Amino acid sequence: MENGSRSKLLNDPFVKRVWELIMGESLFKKSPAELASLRESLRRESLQYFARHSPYYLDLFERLEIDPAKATLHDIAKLAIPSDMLRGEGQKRFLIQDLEEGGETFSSSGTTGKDPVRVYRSPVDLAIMLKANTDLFEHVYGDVLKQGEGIALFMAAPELRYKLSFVAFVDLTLDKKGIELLYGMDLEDKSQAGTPWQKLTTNKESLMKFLKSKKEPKLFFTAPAGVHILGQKFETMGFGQRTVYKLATGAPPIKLGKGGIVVTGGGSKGFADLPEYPQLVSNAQKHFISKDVEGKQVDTPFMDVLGMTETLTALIDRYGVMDKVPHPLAEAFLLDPFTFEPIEEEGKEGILGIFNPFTTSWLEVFYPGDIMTCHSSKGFYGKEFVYKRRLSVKEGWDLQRACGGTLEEMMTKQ
Amino acid sequence: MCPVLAPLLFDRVLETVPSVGNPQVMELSPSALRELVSSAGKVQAELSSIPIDDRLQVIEHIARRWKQKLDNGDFEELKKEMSASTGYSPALMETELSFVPAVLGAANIRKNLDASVQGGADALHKFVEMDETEMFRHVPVGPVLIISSGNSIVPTLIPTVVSLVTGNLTVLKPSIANYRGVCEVFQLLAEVPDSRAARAVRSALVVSYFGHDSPSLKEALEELPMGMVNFWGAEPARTVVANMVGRNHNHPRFFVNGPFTGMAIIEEGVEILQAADDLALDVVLYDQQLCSSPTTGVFIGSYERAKEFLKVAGERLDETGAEFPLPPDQDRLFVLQGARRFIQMDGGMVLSSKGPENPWTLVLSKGRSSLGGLAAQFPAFNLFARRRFLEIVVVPDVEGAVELLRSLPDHPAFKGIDGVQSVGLAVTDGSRQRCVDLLVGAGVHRILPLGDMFMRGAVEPYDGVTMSSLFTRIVYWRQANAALEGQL
Repeated sequence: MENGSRSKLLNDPFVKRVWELIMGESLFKKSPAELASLRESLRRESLQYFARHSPYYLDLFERLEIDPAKATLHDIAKLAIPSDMLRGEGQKRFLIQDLEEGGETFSSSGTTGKDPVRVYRSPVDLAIMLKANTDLFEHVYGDVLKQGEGIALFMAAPELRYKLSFVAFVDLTLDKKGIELLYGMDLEDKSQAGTPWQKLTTNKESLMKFLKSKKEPKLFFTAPAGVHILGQKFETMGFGQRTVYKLATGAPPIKLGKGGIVVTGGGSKGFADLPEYPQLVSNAQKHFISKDVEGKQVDTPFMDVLGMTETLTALIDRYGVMDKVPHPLAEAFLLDPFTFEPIEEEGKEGILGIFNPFTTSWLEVFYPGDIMTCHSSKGFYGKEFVYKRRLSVKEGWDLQRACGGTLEEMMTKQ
Repeated sequence: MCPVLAPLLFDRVLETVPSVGNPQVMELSPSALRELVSSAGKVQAELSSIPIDDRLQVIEHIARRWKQKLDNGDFEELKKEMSASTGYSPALMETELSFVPAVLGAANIRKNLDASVQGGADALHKFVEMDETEMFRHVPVGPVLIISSGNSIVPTLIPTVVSLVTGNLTVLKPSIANYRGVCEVFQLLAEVPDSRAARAVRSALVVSYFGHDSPSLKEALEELPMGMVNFWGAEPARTVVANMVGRNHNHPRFFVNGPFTGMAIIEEGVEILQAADDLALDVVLYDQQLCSSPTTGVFIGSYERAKEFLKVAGERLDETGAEFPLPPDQDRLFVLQGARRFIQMDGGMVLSSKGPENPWTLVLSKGRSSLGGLAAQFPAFNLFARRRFLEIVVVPDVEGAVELLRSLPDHPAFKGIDGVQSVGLAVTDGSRQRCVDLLVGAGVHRILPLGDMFMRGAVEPYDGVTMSSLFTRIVYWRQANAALEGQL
């Protein structure tokens, strides 16, 4: 965050404006119309910014007959790239000329046998990523994560903090909030830490510490498969085993305390026999117990994060409360799968496209291959998105997996 | 009706077994194939003793019967099935089926044989004098195994019919995709009025699918006394089959057709609308899946004129492609959009259709191809997966066009081809001869007018050789020494 605030790019009026918007007062208080207007102006300023900072974009806009000062969502749709284009060194051509060093590069799992998607995040982008995602998370969570309160368990290996952006964002956020984060997995062969698809094993020590901790709230981060596997494990325990386990850990059920929550990410990809998400939540709520802020037992809240290497901010939902919403300044849109034109109709399936105008190192507009629908809502964004499926793989085509998919694949291999 | 996936045996009774890994498909058992091959001498002796015109009349009868059935609408179901199995538009299947009578027409086949058999077609059943006292007779080299090409019917019919009429016991292995169509054609042999020629032709043909791991196919390639194996297709199957044939101690002939592709050469100064119309037809017919289809193009002239041409070509593709609509496919379109965007981001100019049922794409590039990085980023969007997708590279002269043509087999986006088989020309009168002169030495097999690349002339060779020469050998007979005085 500190490096970001010292960035020379902040001298650029567009970056300065974005910074002030992200770091300023809550955007979630604005009306959907106000936010839409803000996004429209940012869209145009963003394209003008990239034309100023890269001859590549100047040429591209000219060839695609896009006037940055008048750019519409249709223009953004024309500029959206498939995530596959970011494999290997694919991002390089899109980076601005005066790119700032000192950031971090995140990558996808690379389990498809092809080069993984690799995305560089400059210091200013990292700072924006941290703040924007934290704001979005807290809005969907319905509360502010209080400084130094609570404990979190992430069913991932600590090495992934430096590979996967979702893990990094959680790590950075909790670190900034002074909330202890435990990693519930170990890479079996740590010398191979650069390959996150290595087989993982459970870190029993971390798991025990989390289960026995008296801190509140308890935040449990995992792929959906993680919750499912844990629930199945509890259900298949014999009476004796269950008793011994309960004496040792206090679980099952796992008591998450006041404000406790389960946060999933990565969808059901790579795990063929996973129940549908509502069923998964319903099953898991038998084994995870939470209380509201007043101490009354409630159905354990579930949040699901749709994030991937190539997006600075995620889309997050809270089960039963709101469907997936992006950050107020992010432009999430659906493309007709046949024409690739933006679609507005509610309930119609489309390919999700994401444009993050607050990303300053490259024009972050892409589509990862997720089919979703959207519907209007009274929330800050005016609409919410519902995940439907990944486009199926045919003729050897592999689609970019969301980062959570990596966690799932690794768990499947255990 | 012919069972879709059971061998077509006519009057023979041969053992069939389920194909390995696919019990729905029946194929000849190894012992049945041995029995069949062992009958080759007798079958071929009988067939090749019948005058060629009688043999051709049998095939002609199939052609006539096919046309009747086609006109009666008897193949409506077949069109639908083949459209589903091949991925071609139903309208294209209609066109394809209408080509069958021409391919099987006796006059066309006779013309081909007369042009390709030294001594003329009559030399297929008797000795024909080539010079004083010297005579040729062309005899079958069979038994012949034809492993035919994937999607359409016609490229399968051509070698099979030539093999048959040149007197060979012919075992045809179609693909799963075109099996039903091929079967429908050849089962009409059963309806040919009884005659010695009809019986002989029927006894010389077996159509059977063989699975990739078929023990029968393995035995045929590695052990049985085949005279000729004709393989239509690409890697990796080509090398696998070649290695198997190489192990056969009977040393059958082995000839591979394909994989090739086509190239369009358009020159500034020709009538743009006509050239665009012709290009659109060649691109849309068979969706660039034939070895003759243009999958790349060059424009000789200025970039500005090329842009104008591209625009007109797009309009023509809109119109021509709409006549052959494809069922929209989300996954294919997703991949296609990715590729289009990749090229755009890489500096190429892309024009494309708005209609998902006619997903054409034209790419215009200056001097060099813009598809270079495509293969690395989208490896599965290869030549064989692309449909109605054409890049046109602008070059200053004919030399530049031919240079691009020569380099095509090394282009990563064209991986898997041996070279350019067919060149469709739309060039000015002033450049034509120069262009042809350069192409002659550039490895191409066919030079044609643009708009006519898919069409085969009756006398045409295939991939540089006459087809009859693949399936026959010449018996040379010199009756006396006198005629050779003065010769070495």
